[in-house]
Amino acid sequence: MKEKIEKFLLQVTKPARYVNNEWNAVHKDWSQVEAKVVFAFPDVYEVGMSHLGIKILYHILNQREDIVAERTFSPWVDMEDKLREHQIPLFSLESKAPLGDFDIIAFTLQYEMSYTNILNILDLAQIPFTWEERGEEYPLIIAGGPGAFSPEPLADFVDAFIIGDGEEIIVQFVDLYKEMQKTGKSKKEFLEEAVKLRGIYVPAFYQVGYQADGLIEYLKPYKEQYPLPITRQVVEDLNEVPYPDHFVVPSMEVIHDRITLEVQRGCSRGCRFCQAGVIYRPVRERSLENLHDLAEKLVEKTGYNEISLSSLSTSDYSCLPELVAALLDKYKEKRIGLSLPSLRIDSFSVDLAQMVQEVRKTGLTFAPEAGTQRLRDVINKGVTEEDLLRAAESAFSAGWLKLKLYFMIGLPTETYEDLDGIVDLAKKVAALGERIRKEKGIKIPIRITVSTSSFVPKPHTPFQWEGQFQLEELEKRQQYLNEKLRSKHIVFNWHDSHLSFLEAVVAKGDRRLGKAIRRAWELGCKFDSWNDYFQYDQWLQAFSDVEIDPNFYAYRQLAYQEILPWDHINTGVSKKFLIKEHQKALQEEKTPDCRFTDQCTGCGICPELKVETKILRRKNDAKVES
Amino acid sequence: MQKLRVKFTKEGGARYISHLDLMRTMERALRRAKINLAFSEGFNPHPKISFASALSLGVESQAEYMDVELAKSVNLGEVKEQLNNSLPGGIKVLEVEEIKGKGGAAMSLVEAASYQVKGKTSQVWPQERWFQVIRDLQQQEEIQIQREGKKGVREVDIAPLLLKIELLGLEQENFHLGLLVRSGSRGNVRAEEVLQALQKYYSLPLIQEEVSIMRTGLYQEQENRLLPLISLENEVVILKELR
Repeated sequence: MKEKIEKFLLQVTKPARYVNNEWNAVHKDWSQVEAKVVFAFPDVYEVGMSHLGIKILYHILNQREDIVAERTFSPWVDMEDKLREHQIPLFSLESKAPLGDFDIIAFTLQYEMSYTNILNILDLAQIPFTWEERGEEYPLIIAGGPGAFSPEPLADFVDAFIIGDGEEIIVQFVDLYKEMQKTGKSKKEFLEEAVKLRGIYVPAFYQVGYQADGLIEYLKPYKEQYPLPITRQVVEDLNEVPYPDHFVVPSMEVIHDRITLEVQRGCSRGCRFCQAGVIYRPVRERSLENLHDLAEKLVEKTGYNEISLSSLSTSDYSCLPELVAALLDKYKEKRIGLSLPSLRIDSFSVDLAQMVQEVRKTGLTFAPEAGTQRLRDVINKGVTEEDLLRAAESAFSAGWLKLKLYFMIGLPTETYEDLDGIVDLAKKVAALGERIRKEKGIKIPIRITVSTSSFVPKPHTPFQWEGQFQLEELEKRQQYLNEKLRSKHIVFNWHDSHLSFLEAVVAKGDRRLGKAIRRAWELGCKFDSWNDYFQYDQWLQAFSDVEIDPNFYAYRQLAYQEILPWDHINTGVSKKFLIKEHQKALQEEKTPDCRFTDQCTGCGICPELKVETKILRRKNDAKVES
Repeated sequence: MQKLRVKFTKEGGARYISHLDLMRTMERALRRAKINLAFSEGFNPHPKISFASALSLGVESQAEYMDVELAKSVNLGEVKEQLNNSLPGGIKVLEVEEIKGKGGAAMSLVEAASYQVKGKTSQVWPQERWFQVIRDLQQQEEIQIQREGKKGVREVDIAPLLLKIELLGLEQENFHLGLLVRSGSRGNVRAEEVLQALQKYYSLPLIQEEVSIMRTGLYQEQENRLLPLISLENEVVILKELR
């Protein structure tokens, strides 16, 4: 296989994507293992290698002597052509084995628009798409990640979804597979056992019925013993599950080319559009001791010169200042920098960003999300104009000349006044920046980048019942902003709303949508999230070919009493809470974060999953819990 | 402050590492080997690592060189092993030497490079044909090839830069060539360009997918002799004897 590939490797772009001489990659003797798993990331190498989840699970499975885990990614289109031309099945990076030789292929579902790439990977691996077509001779196809929380659009293709934190369940799942395989059990027999584990959803075990109006009438298990709902996995304490002390270090530049230290999981800020804020609850902070220990090992074993303190909202980590100070101090001499993604809009965060910049200079992004206080209250983004201006002032005073402001357009209840609010904020920030710059005698003008994307209603959020604005209206609003934001200090860019429309369709899709995804792939759709390859017309053709109305999924306002296509997946947050939050949104009422108020919002996560929020230090409390 | 010159290989999978990525790969390996690097001053400090010569993507090498400046001196005996324990597959340190005094950077020293090219033709070229072609090519006053650069394709005359071509082996369609060419600031020829000339002027029926190229040496020039960049006692080529 290796020799065959090498014949054309120099004719494709970035051949290092397909070679396996990366530092820390695991190579095992297949004759010495009992289960072979390949993690498949449905995008190119440099995107997939930036993803933390695979690094964690790859590490956990490979710690076991009797299991091998390898990796594969979507080959870029030039490589795909070569593989098809030479009839070479898609292979794993480490042993260059065809995917069909593995026991389990595990897909990561990070974003909806990667789903055609999943089918493309299966096709390139010469594996049939649906579980109905796949006999015992084919690997088991499993999938996890945020997409598994609304799994129905992929229900035809995937044997089992793993829902929730994967650290513990992946080992139990593979162990069970190993045992069942030894005794010669069939896939179905294995899956019947597997669904006894929490967080395993086998779509073949459930039947869906529809009403005449297209709504779901029922989703029910074929047998009584199949669980309903399927409750997600949750790790109680991050310090108690393995985290890699070494990462595979790519030999080519990837998007996040640094050490990722996950400081906490979960965010309870409660932004009403945010799915991650629901499906990763509750907040669990990692201990300082654990973080320092991991940082030291990762620095030693990877040779990276940057550590990223990663989480959904890193400013909220209760011991952040002392962590940053200690890491900076420790690694200053070695010129190892820190980066803090996802900072909140406040002066505290800017101060931290400034500390970090001592070693390396990067841009600063603030995400007010909406232009007026009214709309920010609707989405429960607890940020005021004053917060933003104060944070911007700190940033300009500290020497930043470029700021990026991120907004969403088409949020529920949005009016043109809210758009004017975006314009107003951007101009205020620019004027503030210009004033400070002139005072400091700096010659370079201020530049504010305003970046917008279109709101996509996501399952399991308070906005899951909302319909999207019509595409034409979204484009009109983009144009409106484009005209109003004309200024020499402001650059405006926006995401393609056609893509946001399709994201809404797929995110909110039911089991019938699988046909459309398959048809879109047949029509040549792949790499949909890559502008150059996104073929909106082909997607529309696909919907029309399989007689599915995409507007039904994207635009319709859903009723509370409807059975939603993802209702059988239990995140731990109750539907009652989501309804309450939705209603509060419409009344422009805020809900505070329980993490800072110690006041329960009643989301249900702690009692339902029998877990607790783990915060090292509460406000006004000097002592750090161990 | 200590300055090291490191000779290393870049073979197998490592030949797909681009020049820019090699810089990162080396910095990481040096860090993993716990070698204290010296950094440039300024806003965005970077380690003081420089390579003697860029290698085309896909070309292997048994003779790459980099200069590294250190913040803390190392034991020369140990540094090779430490580094070899920290390098990804295909890259191996062969020799490490300390550069004392004002010795020029490896990059500024390079005047020539040698390559071995293995390839396959779609029909057999007999030995006599090869000999005749090689003789003829070396006598040309002008050899124009197409070189792709940042500003598009341009014509380059490689005749004055071609020092020596020899046939090292031949078995049916499989040939094995040795090349010695100019390299560095005063002019540069890539091994692929010599093949291109053979195709252009003599219609060499080359199968492109079957070509493999190995750089075997980088040389500095002293008094009409070509010497390697370190371990000067080895591999001396007398320039006058060429052509």
